[in-house]
Amino acid sequence: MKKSSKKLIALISTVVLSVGMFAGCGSSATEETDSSNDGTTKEETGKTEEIALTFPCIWVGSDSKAEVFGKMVTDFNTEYEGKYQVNIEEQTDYDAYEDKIRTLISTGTAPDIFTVKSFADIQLFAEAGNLMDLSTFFEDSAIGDRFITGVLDDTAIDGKMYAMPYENAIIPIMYNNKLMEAAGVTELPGSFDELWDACDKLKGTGVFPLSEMTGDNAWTSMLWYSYAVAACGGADVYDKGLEDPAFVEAAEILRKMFDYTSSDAIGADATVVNGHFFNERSAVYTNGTWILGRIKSEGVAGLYDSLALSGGLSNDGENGGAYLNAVQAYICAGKQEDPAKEEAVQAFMKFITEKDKIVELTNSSGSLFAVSVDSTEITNTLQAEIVKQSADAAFTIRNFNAAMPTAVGNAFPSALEELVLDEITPQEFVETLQKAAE
Amino acid sequence: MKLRKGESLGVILFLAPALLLFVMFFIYPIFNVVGMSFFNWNGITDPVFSGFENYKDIFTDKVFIRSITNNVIWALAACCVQVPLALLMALILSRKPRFWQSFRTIYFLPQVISGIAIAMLWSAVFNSEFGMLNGLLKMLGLGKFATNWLGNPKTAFACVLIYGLFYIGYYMVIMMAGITNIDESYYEAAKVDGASPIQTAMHVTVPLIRYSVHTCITLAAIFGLRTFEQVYLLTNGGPANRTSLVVLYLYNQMRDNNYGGANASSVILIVVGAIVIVSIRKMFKFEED
Amino acid sequence: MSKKVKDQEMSFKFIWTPKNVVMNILKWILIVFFAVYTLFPLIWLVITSLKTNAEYFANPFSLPAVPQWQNFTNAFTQANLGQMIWNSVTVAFVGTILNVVVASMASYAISRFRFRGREIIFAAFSAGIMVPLNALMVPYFTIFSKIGLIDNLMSLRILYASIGLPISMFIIRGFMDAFPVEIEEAAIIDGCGFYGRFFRMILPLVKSGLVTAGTFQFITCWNEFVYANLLTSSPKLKTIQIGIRYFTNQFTTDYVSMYAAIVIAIIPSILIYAIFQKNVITGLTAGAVKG
Repeated sequence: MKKSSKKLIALISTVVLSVGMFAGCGSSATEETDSSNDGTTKEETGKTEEIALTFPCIWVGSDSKAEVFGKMVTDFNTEYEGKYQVNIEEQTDYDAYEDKIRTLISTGTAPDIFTVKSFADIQLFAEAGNLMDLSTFFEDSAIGDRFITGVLDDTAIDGKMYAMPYENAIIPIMYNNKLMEAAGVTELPGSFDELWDACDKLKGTGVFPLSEMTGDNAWTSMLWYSYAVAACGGADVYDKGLEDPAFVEAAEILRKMFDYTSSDAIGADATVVNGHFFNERSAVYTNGTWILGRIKSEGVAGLYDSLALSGGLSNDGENGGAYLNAVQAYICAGKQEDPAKEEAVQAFMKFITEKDKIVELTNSSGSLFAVSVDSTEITNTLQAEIVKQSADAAFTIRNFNAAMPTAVGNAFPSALEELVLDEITPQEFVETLQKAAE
Repeated sequence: MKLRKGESLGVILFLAPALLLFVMFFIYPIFNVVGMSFFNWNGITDPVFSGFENYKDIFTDKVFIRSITNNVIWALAACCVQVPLALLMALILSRKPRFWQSFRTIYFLPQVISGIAIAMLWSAVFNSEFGMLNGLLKMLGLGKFATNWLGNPKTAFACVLIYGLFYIGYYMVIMMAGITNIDESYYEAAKVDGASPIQTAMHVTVPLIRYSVHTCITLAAIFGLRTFEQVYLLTNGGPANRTSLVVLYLYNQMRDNNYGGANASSVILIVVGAIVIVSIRKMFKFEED
Repeated sequence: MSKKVKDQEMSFKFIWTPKNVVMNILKWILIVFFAVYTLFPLIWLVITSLKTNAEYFANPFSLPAVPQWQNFTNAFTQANLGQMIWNSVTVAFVGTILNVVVASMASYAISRFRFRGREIIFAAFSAGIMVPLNALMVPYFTIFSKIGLIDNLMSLRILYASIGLPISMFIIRGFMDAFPVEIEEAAIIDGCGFYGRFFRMILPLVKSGLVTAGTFQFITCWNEFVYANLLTSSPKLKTIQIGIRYFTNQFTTDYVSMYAAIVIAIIPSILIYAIFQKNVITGLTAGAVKG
């Protein structure tokens, strides 16, 4: 009797354990789901149905746009209270964010609003029919005119708009004037030959002339390569494709740059490169405007005030004065069945591209946007100067990663390492990239 | 043990929950993975059947060959260096030297700390400009050996591999737990025989924890074959793919939208792993019941 | 307990032969080497988490000029770590208990009984350790959206319990195998049935194995990030690993705050480890007899 009852208890507990973990789900599902996120059920008892939009957003946390962008979303929710509600899902780790978006898209559950950095991805998502067609939205001239000339045309895919260009990366070359003067360089280089002269002088004073890296996505070196490509091939170099000899010539320039950089450049990530420039260990640097705020707060005293900025350099007397300018965040919307939801998404897009809001966002974050603002409205003088220089530039050109398929950008760091280690020639470097493009 | 009457129900009931979860979270997805490995697929648009194309591509890719070689070296190093060190320290700590409990916690710390922090630390240690390792070498008058440890193709793989081999806590914990299950009478007997501590360890403890050693060796081999996180965070496979690993290779394929290739790499990884697991079990020659 | 250990240390007569002295020195060199080596990351982490980002960029190994304690308050409040720690605790506990219960039941069946296909089942389970889990985002997301558990912590509990099964079973079976069948056969003669032997005999015997597997499983749950980010979206349901990454953005990382968050995040896991392991000590007899 005693034994069998024990046996029974054991048996029951086993069954309960194995069944219970699934049975348990149903009840706890309701209690644990964040109900505030579930706009539709919440409003069922209310008067009008509020439309809730999901927005996994990367401009949160320590991102420089976080504060003002977050306020923008709150303001939108207040203005459209009872009608629309945008729910931000904080996404900080960018790789994980991209994985999530990709998974959601391939399972057919694209978020209502999300950002994409690569135009190639937008083409892919659009091809698969996961994105909302925004063509009519941009036909409205009140919307279309907000944007910088040409940027919308560049975003069109077969004449249709599947994304809204939003954040722009405008990238100057930055010089530490103090170090330059100490090395006897009084004028900013205008050509690569002048840059090499300056580098030789800088090297003599014991600093690293240039800031190069191959870690992560080799960001700063990729930007240098973009400037070299612009100088060798001119404004329409990307249209000519990777077969153009300019890419090989630019690879030779990039290879030479590594003779003037720190010993840890191979494998260096952004931390290392920033560390060198912020601490006056390196003299010439390239990065987007968003870094200015950090140079001010994390750089050594006086660094920010001794920054000098310029556009691209010329090669053999040609193609000088280019400026790297590319969209680096597009806002996309998942395809909707419900026209009311489409309206909600468009209302949000309209809201966050209003000029005064963009000015505030620009001034608070150091970032620049595809919405045109007057450079006089930019309070930060360096940032305003970059906008002005870019507007006056001989030509603007996308950075290499923005112009290439994702796989090419991914292949760039290891190909660069092989190039710098002299395991491959500049010609083979470009061939490696071509192979990745296939 | 042979099944007795009425016990098959128990066995089935005890296996059922594990099997259910296993089918859901391993078998079903793996069927997907195997199936998709025969397709050309970018993860978004419709897949196109391509037969063994993905496998052919992988086996002709020198980066993949390097990756799998690196993983095999990693697995061997873990089995031949890390596990023996862990065993040695388990034997020492199980004799309860002063503060042994604190040491046991300390040795385990690297397992608990987020991989990001450990990677950031070691990349700073190996850095050629301000790194600790070069600083130490210069201090010892060995400055000529200073190098960009993680950027030098000759040293990078050794660096990413070696530092983790001395984090022995994981395997040490398994073997110490094995030692706790040893009956005291074995030690009494050894004492009576006048065995030295080393003799006791070699002839009493080690044979009695052979199952734990087997567990550790197998886990070390498997973890070695599928490791990637510390490399991903430290070198991302560089310089020039010298530190590439299979799982990293697989992720890069996913990032390049080559899901067919990524799935084929997964299949190869699972097959290799299964062979290794079975072989190690055979090597230990456990008597069946 | 600690008193008892001390007594044993005292009663142990150290014989001053040159060989013993050398062995003792060697032993302590090893112990101290590993202690320094494994403590190094934690010490560096704590020191760095008290610096400013500028100091960190200037030299990763310097000491902070002024300890920046606000990094910790920043990390805690900005990233809302309190809620995240609580979520992680519930996820990790349920995920661990479920995992160990399921794994020990299955291990018992496989370790103690001969039936057709048992080695095949076990080999299949073991091969599961090899599966690159992060390549399964699409199928896992599909499963949980079908059973309606997206944006619900229960999905993480079930998933973590499941993905840890191969390792836990491997460890627990190893411990069960170590006990000869004869012990159980004796119990059978005493009239002890299938369930009785499992609950009253085998489980207590392999307690240290259960604790070991449980410790590892807990840490796996605690440190998992990819699926925590994929399967939840509400701010209320974020786990500690998402909190750690709160300070890494697309172009900028606030390293010192991140390190502070990491320091906060490892406290619970160290506690759990210490508490779990304390339970294993009781069985440790090897030190009681010294030669």
